[in-house]
Amino acid sequence: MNDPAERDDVSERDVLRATLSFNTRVFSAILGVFAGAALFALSLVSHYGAGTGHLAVALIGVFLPGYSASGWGGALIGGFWGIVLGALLGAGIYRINARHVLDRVDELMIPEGGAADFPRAVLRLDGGSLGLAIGLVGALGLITTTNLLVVRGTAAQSVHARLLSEVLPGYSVSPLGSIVGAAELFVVLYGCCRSFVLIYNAVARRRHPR
Amino acid sequence: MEALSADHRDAIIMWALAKLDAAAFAIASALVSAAVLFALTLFLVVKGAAPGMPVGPHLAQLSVFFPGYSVTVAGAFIGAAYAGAAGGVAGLLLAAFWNAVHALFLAMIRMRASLASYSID
Repeated sequence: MNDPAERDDVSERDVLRATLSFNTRVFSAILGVFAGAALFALSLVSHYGAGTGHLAVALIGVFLPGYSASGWGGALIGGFWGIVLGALLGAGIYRINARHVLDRVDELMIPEGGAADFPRAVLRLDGGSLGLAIGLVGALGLITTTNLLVVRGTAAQSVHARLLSEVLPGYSVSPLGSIVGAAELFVVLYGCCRSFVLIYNAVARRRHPR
Repeated sequence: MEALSADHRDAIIMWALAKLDAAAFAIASALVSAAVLFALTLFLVVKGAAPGMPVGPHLAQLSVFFPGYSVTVAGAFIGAAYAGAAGGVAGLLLAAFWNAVHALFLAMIRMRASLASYSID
């Protein structure tokens, strides 16, 4: 550590790790709060509202023990699950996304100038990396939830899960069906992310010319 | 990992603390959300259902949250408008939270640097 060159090298690695770690935590926290608030609100709306949101809550409750439309208790448990799962998903998505983005960091921001001590920039996104991250998380999620139903032995009764085959041809509540469905879901999510990034970057470039 | 140049290191820090363009994020979220629900609804309409069976009964339950929505051609447009609005708001909130946290973090760094510059020892 006494060699200045080595010390500088270590600090550069630290910069990389620290920036990744900080942004992973921020994205995790945001997604966790969003997911928690959504599940919490869905449960309360289903409980107090006159609509049929009960089905959605019941279906989610199959995978999140304790989550129900029974009032504040079920909503709070849903909020907890949402925060935990949202944070985990957020961390996974950001890590996968950033792993590929860091190689082309100069292309992925529009310098804005701003304060002399620290010039700010506007973020540009990478469609391939974001698509890979969200597609992988979605596909793995479908494989996990489907096989959870298979392991529980309730696959035959999972009529609602089976309905996914209406939009994902080839999907079924079985190990093989989950892989086919996951591959299709990956393609759909990847396409959505590419479209999203295309629009975002086009609008951002227009609003912030270099 | 090879050593990074000072410029590259600065670029990484600048990228890490870069803002999201909230308007662009909201527009992109709105358009993609609207397109997804529109396509999904039309897909089920075109696919149809067995005689006597309703088309897309589960997706139709979105009408609980999106009054007026149904799994029909007209419903696809209504659903797209709702999904666009909901997606836009969600995108705007996500970008706003992201920017707020980073602005707060930068303000803290500036305050610390400012306090350090007044240090007398």
